[in-house]
Amino acid sequence: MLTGADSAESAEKVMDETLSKAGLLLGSIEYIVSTGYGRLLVPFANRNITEISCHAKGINSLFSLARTILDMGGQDCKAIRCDEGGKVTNFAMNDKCAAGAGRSMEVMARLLEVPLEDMGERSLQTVERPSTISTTCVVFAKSEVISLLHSGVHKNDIIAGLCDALSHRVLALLKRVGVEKEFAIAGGIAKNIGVVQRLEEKLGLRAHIAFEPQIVGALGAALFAKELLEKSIKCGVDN
Amino acid sequence: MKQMKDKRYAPELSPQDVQSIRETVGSASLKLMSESIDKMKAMPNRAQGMAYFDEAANLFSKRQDEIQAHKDAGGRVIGTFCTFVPVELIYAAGAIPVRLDSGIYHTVDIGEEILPNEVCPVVKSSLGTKIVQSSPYFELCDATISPSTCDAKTKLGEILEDYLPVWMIDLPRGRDTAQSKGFWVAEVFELKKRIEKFCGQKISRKSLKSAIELVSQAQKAFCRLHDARKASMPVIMGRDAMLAIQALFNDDIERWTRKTEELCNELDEHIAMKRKGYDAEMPRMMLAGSPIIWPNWKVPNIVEEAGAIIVCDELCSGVRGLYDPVRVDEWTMDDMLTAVAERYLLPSTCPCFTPNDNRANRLLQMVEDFKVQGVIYHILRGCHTYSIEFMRIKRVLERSNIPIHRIETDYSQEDTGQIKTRIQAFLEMVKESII
Amino acid sequence: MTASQLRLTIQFTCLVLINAGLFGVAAIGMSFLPSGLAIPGLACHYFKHGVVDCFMYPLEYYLAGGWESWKYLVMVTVLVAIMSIVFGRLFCGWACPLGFIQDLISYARKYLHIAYLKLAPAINDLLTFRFRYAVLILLVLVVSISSIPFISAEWRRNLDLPLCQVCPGKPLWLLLQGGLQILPPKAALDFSKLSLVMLGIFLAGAFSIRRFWCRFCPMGGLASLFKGVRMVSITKDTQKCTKCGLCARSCPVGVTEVYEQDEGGEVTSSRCVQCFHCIQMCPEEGCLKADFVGQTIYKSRAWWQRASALPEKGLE
Repeated sequence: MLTGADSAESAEKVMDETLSKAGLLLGSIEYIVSTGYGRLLVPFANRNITEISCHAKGINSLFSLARTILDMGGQDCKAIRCDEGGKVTNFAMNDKCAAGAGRSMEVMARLLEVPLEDMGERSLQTVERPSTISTTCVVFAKSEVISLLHSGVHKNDIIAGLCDALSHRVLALLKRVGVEKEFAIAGGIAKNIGVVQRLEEKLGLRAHIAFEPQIVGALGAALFAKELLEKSIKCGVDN
Repeated sequence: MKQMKDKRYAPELSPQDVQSIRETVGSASLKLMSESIDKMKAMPNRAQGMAYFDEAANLFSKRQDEIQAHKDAGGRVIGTFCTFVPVELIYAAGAIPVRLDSGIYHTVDIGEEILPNEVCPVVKSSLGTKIVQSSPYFELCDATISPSTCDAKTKLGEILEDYLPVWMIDLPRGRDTAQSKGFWVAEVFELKKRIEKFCGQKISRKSLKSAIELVSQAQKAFCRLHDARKASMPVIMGRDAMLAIQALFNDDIERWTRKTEELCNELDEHIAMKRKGYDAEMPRMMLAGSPIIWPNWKVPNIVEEAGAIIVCDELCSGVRGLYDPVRVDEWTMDDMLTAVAERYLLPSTCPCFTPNDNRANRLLQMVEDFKVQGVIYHILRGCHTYSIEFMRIKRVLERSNIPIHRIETDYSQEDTGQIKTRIQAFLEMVKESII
Repeated sequence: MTASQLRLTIQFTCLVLINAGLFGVAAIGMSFLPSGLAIPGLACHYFKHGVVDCFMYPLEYYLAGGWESWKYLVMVTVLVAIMSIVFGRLFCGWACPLGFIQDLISYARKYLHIAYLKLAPAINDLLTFRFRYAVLILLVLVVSISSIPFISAEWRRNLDLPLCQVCPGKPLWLLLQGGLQILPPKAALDFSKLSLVMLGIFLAGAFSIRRFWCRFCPMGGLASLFKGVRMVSITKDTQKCTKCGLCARSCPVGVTEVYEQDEGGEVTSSRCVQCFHCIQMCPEEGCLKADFVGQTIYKSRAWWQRASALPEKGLE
């Protein structure tokens, strides 16, 4: 579900939907950790933890060997390093501008009238060669893509160019924290095989990719909730 | 002093426009200040001595009446920028210094009309403040002294000449060499003559000596405050200490010294009696990098609201401005002036100097003294010198296993959410365990 | 009590107790040395009741004695070496009567609020590094010539003890003792005209340049030869140093190494007179330290924590 204008409201909605699907009541959930951009606004959460820590935790539970994590969501992109316990040891995040984040793929998919899910596949089926997209700014890239379309370049080549540019930008971010051999990708971008493959080529590494990459953060939050609950029970007994 | 002829940079604005913008800016900055003050007041166990500084830091405080009275009695008011203006000379000539670096968001746009986009918000805001005459203290200035630090500040001096007399003091970029030192000392000797002429008052050996003593007393009070922040159970929030320090930008120095001493007495009592201060578990953070000027409390608010405490900073708007003392060996005019000149140049760690080796040392020492667990490196967009030095500082700190996180931002509020995430994640990383 | 006050007291005590012979007996005079000679170091030979010499006098004396006195020469050299290794140049800063007089003159100048003359680093280097050793080598040459047997007795007499013929200390102390009627007038005036000129230069120099004489004093030069092995040293903690330049500005002999050296650790310069004024002025807690065989004997304090927030005012 996409975040609406009101984070609190959409959080309530998601919660209601989930609870009804699972056949549970809010009262029966003992500990809730909120994460993500709206984490501070979730009214029923016991605690909030950033998506950076949650992603590290989530990935650590899926791939215990992974030490470098790339999380690419809608508006930002994070390179995370963690230790064997899934604790963050360093991270880098793109600045204010969302260029190079998942949102740019969305914009381009709409512009090219290609379903977002197909972008990755199509970027691998280049007709001639991937076109060069020189800018990562969504606004400028848009006009660049339009001019490419006008000059008759095949859509697949343009998509290939976009994926190439994006993976290049992500690589720079990853280099800021340093890349280790065991490398995992989470977030929506993991579903774009075009970006993933190019990144793997550039790094010369095989990436671990979660089965449901978009909910790795939620998995981490749930794990934290479990630990926090255990701790509170233990402390309660101690007292 | 050059007579102003044609305006070289100043925009043509009708007095009505200026009036209306001034009012909007005034009320907006009052709101901004009171919001931050409320947030700071909301912290439990806040020292009572802070109440004075809440008032004194107000950019529209009653202090302006005192300065006006001083002017009415024939006294002069001289504006300063950065930390390089030897205020001892201003006091010695019977004038009042006022620091003009501005942290008001609402005048950034106005400055932007003249300045290119890439200039930092401090310079944009300071200039905008003058254009719309929104700072009473800036309006009270008869002249301003502008040191040639970074490029933006250097040109700011030139632009401001459209409004009031500006004296550039030329800062050597080399600093460490004998030539640089000699050049700067000569510059300060020259400044003394200018100030004497402007104020119509000779700076005598006695008046300079008492001015040095006056500022030294304030610095001594500051050092006590700085020291109180070393306590393992924090007794003062970083924002509070920063506010107290910045109150001196406009405040009467003697009263400020007295009030700071009182605040320190209160804090010392807290420390000695082990009375409940703040949570000792809070991660201890250091702020480094570009100046954070009241009321631009964006980053300090985010950091301390995320559950950390700022135990020290190396900002020129904070600790750096008051830390290094003027120490005179022989009380001759020559030696006093040299001592004053050297104090402003040699120990400065401003990144506008090259080489700037002692900055890293200074940071490491502070990390040690204040048991800093993480450094937040604040970069104002357009502040290139700090931005460039980040890499070097990062290497040095990481070699000592001190995590550092870079935040590049400006005075606007649009990236608050993103910065909150980063800082919270950084704190989660710094802490032993999130659980 | 500040370090400079303590130093002034010790300097005065040394002048009175050792040089004026207030110990009463030549208790530490060495019986195995010929009569009239004493431990080298600290003081001037021409104090009537003195029990200690400067480094130079016995060296000159035995060097001029030629082959017959080689045993004594070796003995004195060893003593000089031991003194230099153990005490470094603490003599110069804390005990030397000539240093004391120079400090007194500086205090008088400070009292009059007259600024001292700043020597350009290049000139200072010339004086302290080159001229000093040139004087020392010249002295050795002159003395050696005087010891050659075929030189006439009259020449010999003139070349005898060449440093004492030019040292401003000799006329200064002789005149002082004459004035205090410790010495009869004839003995009090027994110095060369050249040394009187030197005394004039010494006094004028000391008034306008801090520790003027110490910059090229051959005794200091001799003691500095043992710089690498001496037990007293000044160390710097680079991380604590703010590079404020106070050590360089306040140094009475214009030492810049303490300020410039960035590796930390030992920063003692060969021209340093070890008065520790830099340590006293340094505003940072524990940044500068004086060590004796690795043991800290004095260190800088945070400026604002001292009794007075203001630096020492001297005699003002």
